[in-house]
Amino acid sequence: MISIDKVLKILVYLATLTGVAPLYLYLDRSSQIIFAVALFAGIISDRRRTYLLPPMPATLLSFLFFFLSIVQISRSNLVQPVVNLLVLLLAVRLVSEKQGRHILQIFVLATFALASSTLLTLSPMFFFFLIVLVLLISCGLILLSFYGAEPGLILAPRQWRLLFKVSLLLPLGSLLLMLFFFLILPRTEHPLWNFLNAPVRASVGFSDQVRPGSVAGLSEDNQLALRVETDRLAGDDLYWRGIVLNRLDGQVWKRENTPPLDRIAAPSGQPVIQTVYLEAKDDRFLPLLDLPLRVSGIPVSPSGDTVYQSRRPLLKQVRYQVQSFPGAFPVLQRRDRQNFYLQVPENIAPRVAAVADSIRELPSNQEKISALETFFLNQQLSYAATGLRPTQNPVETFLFESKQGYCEYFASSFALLLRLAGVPARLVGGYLGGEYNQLGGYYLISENMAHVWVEVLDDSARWRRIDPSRFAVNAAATLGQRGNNKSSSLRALVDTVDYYWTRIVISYDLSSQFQLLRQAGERVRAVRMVGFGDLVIPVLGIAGFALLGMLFYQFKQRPRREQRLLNRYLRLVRTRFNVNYDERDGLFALAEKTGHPLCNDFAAYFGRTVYRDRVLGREDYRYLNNLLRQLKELKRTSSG
Amino acid sequence: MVYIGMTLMLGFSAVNTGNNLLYLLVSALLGFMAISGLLGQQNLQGVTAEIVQPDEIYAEAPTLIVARIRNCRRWLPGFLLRVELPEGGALFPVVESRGELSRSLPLTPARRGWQALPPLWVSSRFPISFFVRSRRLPDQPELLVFPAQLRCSPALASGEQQGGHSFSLTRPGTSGELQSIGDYQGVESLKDIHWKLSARHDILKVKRLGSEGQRPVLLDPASIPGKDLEERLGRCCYLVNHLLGNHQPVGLQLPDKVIAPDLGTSHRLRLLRELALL
Repeated sequence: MISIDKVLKILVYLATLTGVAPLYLYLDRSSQIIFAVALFAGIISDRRRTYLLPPMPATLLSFLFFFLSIVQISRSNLVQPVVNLLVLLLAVRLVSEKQGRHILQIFVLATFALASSTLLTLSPMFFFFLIVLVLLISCGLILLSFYGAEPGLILAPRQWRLLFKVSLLLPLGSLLLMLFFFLILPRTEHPLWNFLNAPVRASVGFSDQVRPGSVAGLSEDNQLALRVETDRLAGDDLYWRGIVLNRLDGQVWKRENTPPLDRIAAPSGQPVIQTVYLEAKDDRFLPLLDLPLRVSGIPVSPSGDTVYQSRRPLLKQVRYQVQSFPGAFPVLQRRDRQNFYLQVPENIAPRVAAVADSIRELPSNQEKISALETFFLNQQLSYAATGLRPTQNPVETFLFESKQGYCEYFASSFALLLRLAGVPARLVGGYLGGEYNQLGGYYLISENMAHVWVEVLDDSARWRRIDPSRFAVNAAATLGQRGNNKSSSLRALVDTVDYYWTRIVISYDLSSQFQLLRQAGERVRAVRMVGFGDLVIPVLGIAGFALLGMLFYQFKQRPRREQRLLNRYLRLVRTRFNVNYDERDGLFALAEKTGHPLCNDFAAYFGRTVYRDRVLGREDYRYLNNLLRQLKELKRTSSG
Repeated sequence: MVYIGMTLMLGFSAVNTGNNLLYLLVSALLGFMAISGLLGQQNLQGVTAEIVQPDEIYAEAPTLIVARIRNCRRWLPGFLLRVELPEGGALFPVVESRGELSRSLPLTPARRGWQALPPLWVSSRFPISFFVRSRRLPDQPELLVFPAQLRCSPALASGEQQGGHSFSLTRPGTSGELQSIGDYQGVESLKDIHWKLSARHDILKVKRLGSEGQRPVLLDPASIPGKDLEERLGRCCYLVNHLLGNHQPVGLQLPDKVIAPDLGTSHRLRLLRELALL
């Protein structure tokens, strides 16, 4: 025998923990300590039934916490004080007496605590905590209603089992309906209180400027940049084009927004279809598999150099579809505008100029490119992302002194030398590589895969992609790792959960609702178009199942043989002797009322067999049936 | 109200922040509201309750009557069912499917005779106590309420005093005076055989003795002192219970019939019934 009170208290503590757990790490240190101590003290207090805080001091302390939090609230610091306040109020409730209404307050505070965690983090763990909290609070509220009806109620184990089974219906049903309500609840395109939401950590993305030598190294930030849903591709094709930098100002590569127009040479083969889920970022450049042909799903502004920009700021995750041809080339439409890509700064280091001069003499672009590739290979350059010394003349230092650098060094040096040698060249910024998640069927591209390469105009005015970083002596060891990596199982699983969480839940918005509605409409129309003949089999199947179900139900409902005999007997007694059966009297009293020996016989025999839990055998049945037949004959005799 | 307020507040926040996690939470709360409403409604379906007719119940006397609740549902148990009468209720925490339970309810009938019970309600705060659902049950059969007992002197019942009549009672017994001679049936004691008479006849004869008990009393409510009929019936009622409790046979002299003095519970209830309906 377990009391309701005891189980209810356990649920209270579990619900409190579940509500606070997702935001515990975001709390102030003082709030963290107070909550932990209050939880511990509350459990001890409940066991000893002596509470640390009587009702009045508890109320006063709650007011004190409230005012202290209100004072801290400002426009830039709105969520943190509220979250701390919720946890402190919970702490007060934990160490004070817990009557029914106090328990209800704890459940409400725990729910609000979980709700407030959504303003701090959008982790998929929220879903886990939500399910657990719904389960705990549902059961808690049910027990609370028992507690309210009779506080000292004690239930037997069998009653607990029954209650537990039915109680589970509540959270399970709630969670199922949750999915339905989530889809249909109204949403707005421009929420008014967006500033309250968890701050989105905008990805740095590829830079819209390339300035080699400005920093000592690349950050190893593995923050997610984008996910691309597509089939697995060859490692060498994984160049995600983002931005084209076409102008060199001193040491800085920049983008001029009106470049000469390119056209795409007629691609051969099947396009690679991608669905890109791009994280929020500061700029509007959309990374796409090189070479992109068409972008849909969001409004975009394409540029002449095959760069696509979103027309709207990318303040939250966006999704778009891309068609790309990895083997295709952009072609400069007007050869006379190639000088746009030959612009160089005035002050060029002598050693760099000398290399360019030696190449410039060669007759064709192709030969110049080959000569420069040979020069890069001969220089024994190595790829290094860290430990680089900032310098005023990074290209010269990189090529002739340090001989170490990351992609920006390689690309900007290569492009500069090409331009100096009279070959049009430009830098392309984006990402290289990607971890393929086989579970989810997508590439995961993180910030540390940002990359810069070069596009060179060849003799037939085609832009050829050259990645100078591959001329590094350690290219295979560094860049090779980026090409088409496969995620480890655990990481793939975790990322898949996060991927679907983001895709299904976090990014569900008004447009998704409209899309869902459209799809539902199309399905309904599709059903209408189905002919009658197509429906015959399903309808017959359903009808057959329904019929079987009804027959089974009828069979289950059919009274047992003993009951049928008894029913016949009672019916005969009622009609022949006009005596009604009263369950409280029993069969013997009934037989006595009729005063007929056949009834006495029936009562005696039936009582001896059925009421003593004996199974009614064939002989017994025959005998009782015979008695009933005689009773029936009796009517005929008397009426005749 | 707290729950609805909380849901509305979080819903408002969800719409205005566009935070889908808040939407999830609000959806769960709405789902919870819907399912709890459904469970609450189902909890009262298929539940019947009845008042078990008590053997005796007296006007103006607080008493406990038995309420029997039955859960006719096939699968779903009933929880926190409360059967309510104006004077109080009885809680049935768990009633198994196809099960029944009985509890006592307080009741104080105001008048004697056939009395309709106040409306019987079955209510439940299951699954969550934010709402109490209730259902009025079909009207119960009327209760026969005996007159309120008024304590009085047993001497009122004596034949010499008004209201009492002497009455000869011949009941078969083993220790009283000889009532008659009868044929031996095979069940009588050997000491009851009248040997002399048996010798004169061909069959055994036995002595039929009377019962040696208190003197029977025939109560006439019209003769019992009292300012009105109710007072007289109340005293009569008391006397019936008191005298029969002392194994003194009691009968009733009613305007239209006479009930011979007798003993036993069924006789006592018959007398009280007559008094209640007078």
